[in-house]
Amino acid sequence: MIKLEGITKVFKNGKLETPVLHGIDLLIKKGEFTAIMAPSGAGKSTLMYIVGCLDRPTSGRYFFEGEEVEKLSDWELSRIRNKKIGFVFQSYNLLPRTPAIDNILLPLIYSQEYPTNAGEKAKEILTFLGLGDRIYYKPNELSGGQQQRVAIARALINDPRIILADEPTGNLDTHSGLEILSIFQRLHREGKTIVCITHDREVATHAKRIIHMKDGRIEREEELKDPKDALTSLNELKSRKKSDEGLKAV
Amino acid sequence: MKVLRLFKESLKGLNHSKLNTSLMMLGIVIGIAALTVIVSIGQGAKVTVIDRMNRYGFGSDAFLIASGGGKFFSSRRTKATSLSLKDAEDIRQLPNAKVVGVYQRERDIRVAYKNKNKTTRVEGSTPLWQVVRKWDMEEGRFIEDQDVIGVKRVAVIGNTIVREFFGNETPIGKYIRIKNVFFQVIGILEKKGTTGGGHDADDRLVIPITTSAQRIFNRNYLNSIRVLVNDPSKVDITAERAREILRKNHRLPPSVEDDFRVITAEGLLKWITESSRTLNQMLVLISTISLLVSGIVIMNIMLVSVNERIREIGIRRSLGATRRAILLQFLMEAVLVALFGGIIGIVLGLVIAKFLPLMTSISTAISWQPFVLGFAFSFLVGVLFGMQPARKATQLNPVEAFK
Repeated sequence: MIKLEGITKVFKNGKLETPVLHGIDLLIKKGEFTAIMAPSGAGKSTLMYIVGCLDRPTSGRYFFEGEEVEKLSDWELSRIRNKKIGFVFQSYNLLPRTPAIDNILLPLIYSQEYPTNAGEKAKEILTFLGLGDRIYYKPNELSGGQQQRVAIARALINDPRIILADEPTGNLDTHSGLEILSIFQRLHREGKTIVCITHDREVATHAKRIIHMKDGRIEREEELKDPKDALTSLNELKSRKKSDEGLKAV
Repeated sequence: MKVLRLFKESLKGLNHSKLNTSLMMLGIVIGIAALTVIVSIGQGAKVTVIDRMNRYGFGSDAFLIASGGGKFFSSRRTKATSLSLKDAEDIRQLPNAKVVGVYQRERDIRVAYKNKNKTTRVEGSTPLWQVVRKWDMEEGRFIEDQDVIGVKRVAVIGNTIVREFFGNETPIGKYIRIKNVFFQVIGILEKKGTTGGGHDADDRLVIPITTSAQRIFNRNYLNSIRVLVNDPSKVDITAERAREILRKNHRLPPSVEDDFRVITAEGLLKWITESSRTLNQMLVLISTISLLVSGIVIMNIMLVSVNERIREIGIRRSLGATRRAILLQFLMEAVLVALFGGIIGIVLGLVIAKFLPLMTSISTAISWQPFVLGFAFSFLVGVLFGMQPARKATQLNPVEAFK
């Protein structure tokens, strides 16, 4: 589904050149749940922007579903972002002062067709993500975990092939983070391709495949036989909390 | 349809930053309001000219001599009692003079019929009145030479008087009182209706000039002499001749101004345009400057807003907005602001145009032009000054927005 061949990226600031990616080769198959793990400053966000067709590589070849992205126009790239990719960011990137429902429907504004049942669909997704009662809440009226779920709903509205998540749990507490990860795992089971970028091994171990990056290079790849199940962790966390409260009560 | 969706996004954008929006609108409002007032004044001047011309029965083949010096319609500087029938007789001798009509008139003269009272404009004239005013009869007959020679107490009345005094009665043959002197109604003037300036042309009555002089006004001097010429191209020369005759008749030494005014159609137009020119130039300047300033304000605020909304732009791009979609959204915001401001400006301008004549001597007229001009200019300002910020918005790298 995604194939990177020798992707490099050099940022130019006046005469100063900062190489960020040094020849990345990467293959992501349809239906995979992949984590790209790297310490901060390793260029993982840059990589995601390139994969997400938001930025172009300095050199190398990138194929998205067999199409060479380098040859696509702004219009075609925008269409890929709109239809085939769903982004989830660390800082949610919701439009402020805009109700959840409008944030979720935003990608449809840029689609060729605006489905008549769009509102229904958005509500359905929000309900699926457990936010059915917060449809008209604005981002500042929602918790971090709730905002991230709105962002996921927005990513899902156009039925994308792939979800690109950049530190999706970075701003969240353990509980909310696990909720988000359990959503990803559920989506993965339903057949979505998911790429999750993180610096946190705890997060990465929820994916089947972990790609380790360092200093703009892929260091090694790790295949997990038995990735963690976020839902189980969540339940454990809940029962632990309960027992804590029980102890306090005693 | 996609454009419609983007249009809604632009509306939301404006709604989110009301302060910016109102600041951007302010300049446009002033500019367009000034523009609207200018156009209304221009139209008003035109209506005034046409109105005056109609009222004075003016064509290019006519000129008017009014008693009293000064400038056309501005207040008479000297109240003259010098215009006489002899003056009219002398002017008639001019080769180009075709018809010379003489008038005495006074406003607010009390007239009565049975127990009904009203005040109206009374004109004393001759049968030539009909010729120079080009005014037909609705019923009965006009004043004839015998009426003038015989100092007859007969009156030709306008439609307003018919309505107010007689209702369904037949006025012809009835007696009305003018300043308590009985006059027999002999004819009704054709209805002319209200002129553009709100003057009721039918609220008048005409009596023989001899009768008006001896019975009603008790004076011999005329208020005006109206001259129709044979050759309209020589109307100015004839008017100048007439002026010389009058100065000689009135024994005015060269150092003394005319104690009458000679009014030609051309002079009338010139006077109207000149009197409104300075004001117009001022207003054109004001509206141009404020439209320019408002355009620059829009551009500035939009540029700042694009920088503030760099994140929003990034988000939209990541969700599939093309550069064109971003351009359209921001451009439409600028155009919408300008158009909203323009609409408010038009309304404000029309309100000012409506009240201006009540407080000043400037006359205005409301027409369709301010709407078209206001829309066109505000749209233009929006597009011209919104383009640069909108372009900038499209050139932002979405990735930069997330840093």
